[in-house]
Amino acid sequence: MKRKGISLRRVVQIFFLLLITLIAVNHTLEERGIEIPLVGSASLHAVCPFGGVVSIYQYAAAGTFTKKIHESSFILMIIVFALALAFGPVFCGWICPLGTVQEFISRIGRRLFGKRHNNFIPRAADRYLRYLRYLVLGWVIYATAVSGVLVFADYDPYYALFNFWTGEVAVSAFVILALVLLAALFVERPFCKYACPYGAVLGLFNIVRVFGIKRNTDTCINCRACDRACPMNIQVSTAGRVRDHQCISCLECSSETACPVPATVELAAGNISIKKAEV
Amino acid sequence: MKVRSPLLAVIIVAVFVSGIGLSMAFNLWRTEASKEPARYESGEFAGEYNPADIRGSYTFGDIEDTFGVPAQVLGKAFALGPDKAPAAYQVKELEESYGELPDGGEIGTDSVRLFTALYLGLPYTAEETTRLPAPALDLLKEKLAPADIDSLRGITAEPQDLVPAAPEEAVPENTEESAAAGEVKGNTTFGELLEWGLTREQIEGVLGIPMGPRTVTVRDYVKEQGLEFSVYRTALQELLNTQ
Repeated sequence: MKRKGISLRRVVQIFFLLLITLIAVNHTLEERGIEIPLVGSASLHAVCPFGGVVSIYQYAAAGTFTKKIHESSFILMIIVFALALAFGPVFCGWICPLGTVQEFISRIGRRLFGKRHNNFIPRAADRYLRYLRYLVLGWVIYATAVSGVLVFADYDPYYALFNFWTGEVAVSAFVILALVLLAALFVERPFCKYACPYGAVLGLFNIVRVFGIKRNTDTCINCRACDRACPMNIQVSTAGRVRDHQCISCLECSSETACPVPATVELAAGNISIKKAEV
Repeated sequence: MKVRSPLLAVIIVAVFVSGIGLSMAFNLWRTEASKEPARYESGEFAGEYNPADIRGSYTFGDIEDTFGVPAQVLGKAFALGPDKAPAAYQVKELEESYGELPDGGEIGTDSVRLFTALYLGLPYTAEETTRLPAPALDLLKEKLAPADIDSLRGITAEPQDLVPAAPEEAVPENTEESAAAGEVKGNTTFGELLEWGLTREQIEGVLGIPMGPRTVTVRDYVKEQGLEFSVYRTALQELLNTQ
């Protein structure tokens, strides 16, 4: 690892983690007539871009939003989609507070298990398990469209994490949150890899994104540092351009962070040209 | 063209901030329901508000504003206790108040939709588990034919099944006299303050500005005026405590 100290990505992650936490807390305080200055007090549903995704059907069919979803969710959905179209699922890698919390837990796991961490699940099984999140996505969209309510809220660990004090969280969501946090000791971002329906949607943008993770095969020394650094276990060292649906654009594999050769693994559009002097 | 992490970080934050800022500038950023229900799209009632879109977050005051069913009537129909101000009562509170009935039925948001539809003579198909409290049926007797009332008896919860006090005790004839003073919170409306015994003059004396509409929360109103809610909350609470 080249990087020392806290990364810029971590700064952005902590910023959004604190922001969402403050908004959620403020929403509760508002009920008691207290407000944190300069912080919005929207419900967690109102600031969740996935709420926009699950409301698309109802909005198209009836011109109304799914209950508890408002215009703000649609706007956030558009913003996140625009970013994903340009840079891939940066929402997952740089913003999502649940992803950030899973990464924090995984730091403990890395200390406990060393190199075995994030390598417990056999690759043959893992490869197929990664598609489970598309089943979850299909079920969530179907069930929401049929019922007109946010069915996923009862199973959503993100909702449980930022609403555990409100008494509105279903037991099932608490159980799933506990399992996710426990699993994060062994696996990086377990919920993102195997169950997150929003990650499933955003993952599709890896196929069409403008700026992709690109590896310059001329300068690559095949040390596989990029593979080891990838929290999503993507084999960057075998790709010219990473199109894996699980990439979260965290740049942990890049020449800025893990790759020891300058300008070899980069986020770029078009072909990456390497000056010999840089290599 | 390459993008390094410092630039990506700036782009991510900038796109979020500018996207939200622009939507606010164009008045598109809403984190709460507009409280304007959907309308019937076709048929005899096309263009009228559809009770099917009444949400749990609506207050009886919101329903009065949109559908024209008086909040007091809704308060009587659903047997609100004397400490509840009908105009500020949120529909979703019914489920907490009544819980599940012995026959597995529920008095909740769908009950309000059904009552509103029946009261106004609008079409609505309720869920199988939806129940109406007995006082609601009494109020509907003036609006519906006897045969229709008979058909509703099967989904009416009798007074002994209702968790709150019996309807005769629960429905105050004059809420302004019998309502108990409450606690001023972020969701307290001007209507509640009035029903807790404060006068318009007293409220305006504390605020120093004209009082807002009955269904608007004090917090939202003073915030709109650029005032600090916590200051007025304390003063209003002290005034209530001295009543």
